[in-house]
Amino acid sequence: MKKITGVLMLAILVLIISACSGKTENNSKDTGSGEADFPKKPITVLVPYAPGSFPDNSARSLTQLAEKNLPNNQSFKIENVEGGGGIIAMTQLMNAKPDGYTIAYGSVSHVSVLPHMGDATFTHDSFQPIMKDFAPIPLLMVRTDAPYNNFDEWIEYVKANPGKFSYATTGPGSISNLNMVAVAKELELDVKNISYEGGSQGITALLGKNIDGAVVMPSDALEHIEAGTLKPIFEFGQETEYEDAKSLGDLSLPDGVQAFSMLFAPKGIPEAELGILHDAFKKAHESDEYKKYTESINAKQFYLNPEDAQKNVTETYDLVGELLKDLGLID
Amino acid sequence: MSFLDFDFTTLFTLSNLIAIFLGTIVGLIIGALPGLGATMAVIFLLPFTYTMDPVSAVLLLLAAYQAAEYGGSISAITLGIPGTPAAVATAQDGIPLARKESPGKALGISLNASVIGGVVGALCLIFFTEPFANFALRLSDPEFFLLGVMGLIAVASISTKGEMTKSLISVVLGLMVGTIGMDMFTGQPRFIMGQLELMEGLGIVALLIGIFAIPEILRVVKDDLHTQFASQASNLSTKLTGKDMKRIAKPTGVGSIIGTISGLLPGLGTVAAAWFSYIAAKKISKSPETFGKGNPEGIAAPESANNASVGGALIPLFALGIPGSVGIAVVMSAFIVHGIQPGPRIFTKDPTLTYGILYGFLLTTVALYIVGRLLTPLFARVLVVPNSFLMPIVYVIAIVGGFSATSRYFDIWLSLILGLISLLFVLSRFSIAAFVMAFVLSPVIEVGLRRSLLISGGSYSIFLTRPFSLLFLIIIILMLMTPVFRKLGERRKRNKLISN
Repeated sequence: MKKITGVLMLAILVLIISACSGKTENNSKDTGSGEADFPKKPITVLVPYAPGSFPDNSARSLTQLAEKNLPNNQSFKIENVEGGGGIIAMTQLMNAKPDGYTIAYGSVSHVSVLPHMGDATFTHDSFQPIMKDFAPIPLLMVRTDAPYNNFDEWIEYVKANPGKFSYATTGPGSISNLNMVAVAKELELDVKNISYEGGSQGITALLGKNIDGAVVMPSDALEHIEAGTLKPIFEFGQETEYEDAKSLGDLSLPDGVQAFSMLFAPKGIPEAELGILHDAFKKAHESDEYKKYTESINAKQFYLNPEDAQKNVTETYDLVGELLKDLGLID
Repeated sequence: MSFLDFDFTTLFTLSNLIAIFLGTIVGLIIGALPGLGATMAVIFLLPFTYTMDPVSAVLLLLAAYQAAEYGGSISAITLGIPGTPAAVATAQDGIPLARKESPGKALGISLNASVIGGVVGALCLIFFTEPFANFALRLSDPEFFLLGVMGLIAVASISTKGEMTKSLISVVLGLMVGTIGMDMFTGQPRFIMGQLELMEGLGIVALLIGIFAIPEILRVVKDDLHTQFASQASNLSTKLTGKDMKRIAKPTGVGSIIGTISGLLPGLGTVAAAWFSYIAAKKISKSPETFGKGNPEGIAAPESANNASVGGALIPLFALGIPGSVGIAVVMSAFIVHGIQPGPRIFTKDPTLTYGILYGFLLTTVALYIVGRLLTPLFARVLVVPNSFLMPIVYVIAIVGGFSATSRYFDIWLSLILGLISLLFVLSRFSIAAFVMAFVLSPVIEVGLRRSLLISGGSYSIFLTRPFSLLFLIIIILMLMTPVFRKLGERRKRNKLISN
């Protein structure tokens, strides 16, 4: 029997690992008060991304802080549900009991983009938003050795060379793509979209001089801005701190599609439970620790309460619909 | 500060050493479990690093990454289940050598080759970060496309004699299965048959479990279950003789170099590294006909390559702030949590920390050797277990491992269905290795070609005007012409004989 102990240990380890994946530590804390009605057991947070990915890290940071504000010493349990670009996780949320024990950490693409594409069974108002969290503002990056030094010169260059300026995004219908398409349409620019798997692949291609620009989130760009190899020429927000860049606000253009993250509960969750969850997350969102975290990933905090968050989702949904129609991706 | 001025006392602290050894042990075990390769090992350890000091945190993850790349070969060699796509190459010769000769020897070769590969990768990272990173930037879609095509042509050399047609069918099937999922250029789903789980393509872990583990288990069950793979415990020693070491020197060297370079290129990764070096080792070997039948060189090459690729994948991270693989991207998030931004300025901004990590990374290979020597014999013992006990356990481990990679029941069904289909293919002698290689290369080739043509506006001249692209094109032509030249040469020789 001694011989198979090793094998058995292996088997047990696999079980432990699979059981532990998504486990969050339950902080020991003292609540002297009596038992509240909610929550009485750990709350599952569906995360439609791979463990270790960027949004997964954000979800883990936020829930870890929010846990301290839950009554009854309860905790959040992260469950990574990948697949279908998030459709599987969000469908699971929609079908979950609206008792507050299943929620999800979703993003703009789940509620404002996917419903347009026809594969999802849910739409922009199928969920109850709990709180809007943060959003990084995309940047259009170019090389510092490019033949244009600032936004105005870039416009001139693009107008003089129609169809020549190629830029990286993460694919048609992606947030980076929709933002660039919207601006190109307003300014009547003829530019060429090239799809990459992610922001850093686009940056690599740009550094290697294979393409002329890249629309990426600031976390992918910052290091290269400071190293002086790349610079932003346009910021897809209302203002910009970069010298050679212009923003939507500078050109008096309306807001683009914001890459926000948001917490969702199933529709029909009781007011009291929604309130407890909202308060726990809001307190975490406003903590110094979380502010530091959002700063470290170069995102901006955009707190909205459940009601305003839904308004934000609906507006974004309508805007994305228009843009996708222009792109010819939907009828 | 240059790499020579580094104060080594800051590296040899208790917490750093504990982190390295702990990471190595955990990485080795997780890597050895089918379905949970290097990326899972790093993800598993990531939450523990948040409270550690930055150097220890990063070294813990890198040690685990390094050890898991070796660990992947353990399940391939002992259980016949390659847990990672890279280990499929190792399994080609690892399984026959372990079963026919000695599992200890097969694992010993894998360990030594892994350590040497790891050292080469780490040295390249320490000394040649900048030139390598600049080289990596010059390779892009046209070159990736041609490298992918090169890999497909090379599949011919891993197919058994007389089965070329079946190998080619395997390649075509692999290429087709590789297109399942969302087309990234149009956003349209392809061949998903209404299954949203297939939107991101067939999961590689589910696929590997399905096409390797399940047919393997069924095949063993079909034969005599009351035997065991290795009968003598004396065969379990991982000690290698000087003769063995000499024999694997050349393939290990080749594997280390190919591994480091493939690690640099985010599109290719460890899979291509392992296969390219396996094929290269076969080409330069004195006895290429024994490849696939338990040749130690066929273990040394891919194993050194996948460990060398770890150092290779770190080069773009340090030089450009771009992670070279998914696992390294997770390591990068540990950097960021500790407020360090990897990238060109890391050497000047934080030299003590950066060189601490670089030298510490070299130290992980030492830890790998020590821990590997201690733990590997335990793993080798698995083959002494009678098959009637071993196979049910392997089956459970395979299924649980496949499930824990994605936590989706869908993937379990996928594995089981693929397992039955591939059993038919195995029984009719189709090449499963050729299928996997084509499956892995399929997106590299497709995306490379389509993106190249998008950038060039549809003109094929993009493949001729870039220096490396042109070089690869010439190599491909030479690869295709070699058999023709050889045949012509033979005919001339024969004609000469006749005329004499």
